[in-house]
Amino acid sequence: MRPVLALALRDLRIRLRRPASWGLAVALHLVSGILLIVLLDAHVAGVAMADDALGTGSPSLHEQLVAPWLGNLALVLLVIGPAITMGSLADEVRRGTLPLLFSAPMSAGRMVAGAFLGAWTWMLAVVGSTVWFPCWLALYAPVDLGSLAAAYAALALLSAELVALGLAASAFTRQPAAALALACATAMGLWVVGLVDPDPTAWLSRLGMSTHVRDMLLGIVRLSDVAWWIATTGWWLLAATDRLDAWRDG
Amino acid sequence: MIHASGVTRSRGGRVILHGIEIVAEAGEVVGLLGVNGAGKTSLLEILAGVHPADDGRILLGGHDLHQDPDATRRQLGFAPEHPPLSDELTVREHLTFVVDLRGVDRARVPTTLDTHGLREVADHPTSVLSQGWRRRVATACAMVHDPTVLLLDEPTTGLDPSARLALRRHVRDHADRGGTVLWSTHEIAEARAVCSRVVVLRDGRVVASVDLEGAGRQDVRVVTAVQDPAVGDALRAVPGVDTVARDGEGWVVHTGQDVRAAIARAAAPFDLLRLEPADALTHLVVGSEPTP
Repeated sequence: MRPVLALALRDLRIRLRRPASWGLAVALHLVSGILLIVLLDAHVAGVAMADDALGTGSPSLHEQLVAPWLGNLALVLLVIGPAITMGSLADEVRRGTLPLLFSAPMSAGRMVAGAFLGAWTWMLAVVGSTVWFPCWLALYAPVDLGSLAAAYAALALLSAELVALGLAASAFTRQPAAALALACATAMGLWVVGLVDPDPTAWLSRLGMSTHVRDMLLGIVRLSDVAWWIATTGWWLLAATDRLDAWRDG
Repeated sequence: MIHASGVTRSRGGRVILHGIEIVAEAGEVVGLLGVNGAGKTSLLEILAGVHPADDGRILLGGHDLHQDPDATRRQLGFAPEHPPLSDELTVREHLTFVVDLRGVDRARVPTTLDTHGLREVADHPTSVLSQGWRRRVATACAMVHDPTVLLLDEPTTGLDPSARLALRRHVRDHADRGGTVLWSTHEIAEARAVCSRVVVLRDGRVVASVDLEGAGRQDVRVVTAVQDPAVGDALRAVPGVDTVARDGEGWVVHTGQDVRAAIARAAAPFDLLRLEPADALTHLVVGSEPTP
């Protein structure tokens, strides 16, 4: 476990010292802030209209505002995730550090695990730091903390898959730009596939990321969804490992 | 120790290593000598477990690299030709990363910083270091876990004379403590300065294994009127002769002993024309060139 943690820690240190990493984090915050303002504006107008028409209180804040906001955030992550990992393994080649890793007593699987842990931790920190937006909302309106936790768990699982997908793309192309394009295209494809059929039990829907994130964003956590995220993340990690083994053999 | 036998490797449909045989015992600093493209880096990468061999057997520190790769890799330290450093990390962080990667006590980090004279740059990111300093850091990373087998690929590239001397001293000390060192270089003078023996590699083949104790001082070039392979056979049969190689119209004989009289006698039946001093090692490394 120590070599895996060593790799993860090194990965994190490098990210913390790269302006590009902070640039991505700032971009995510800017976009999420703008999205929240737009949605909040629409939400306030909608609540006023509902009050006028029905004379009732506002609908669930989570369903009407927080979940859609986090849903949009998930879409942004489809680009941010691959951008964070696009150079993970390719950078080892560029820096010439691959011989150091390959000559160490560790398997390709552990190398991928270390790179995954480092990138995922960074992405969790970036995504997690957006939690201050709903916290700010909670000052003015009741926020369902259970649903909020489930929604952030969905983003954490989505992040894991995107990081794993980005690593696999990085291992397949060796070129950061190509890895970004490949991972983004794959992630968006997997997202759109879940929107094609409105029936969530249809086989095509089951393949889609959007299918498995939708209910979790609303606060409904199903074991089948969690298992899907873990399985698909594992699949991408295995693909990255297989590719890294091929590098070693090549 | 390093025992490699029959190591073969192909790349892009071309054989780049042909059945390499190398033996280096504990306490030895063995040079891997050859011109650029001779196959030194490819061989070192295979010995370090970076890439597998297509064929052959490699034993490092008593472990079979193919059968027990992790135990074998634990025995070795490898400094590749290009320092494997991340610009964002400090020297201390690099060393800490290596000891963590190899499961070694972190207490070795400050000791290594002192031993390799890196204390003053310990907390500098490697991006601000010169090529020579980066090379020193890379070598320290290869030695921080006190490996049984040390593989160094062109380790003095970019080093100033004092750093070269210091590195040679570290490596000799390492060997004196029972380590085995394989030092790749294309500089004959450097090999003579640090190695007790050299394995000469040319076009992916081992062309000679030469003991450097006294090497070069007794080498001779023999020129005979008769141009026949039998001349080479006769010279090889002389007791004390290590290697004999064709050199244009003559033969370069490498020997650590003064056997000039015996060589002259062996060459006499072929009409000996000249017997002159030569540097067989240079000839072995560069290969046979046509005489103008």
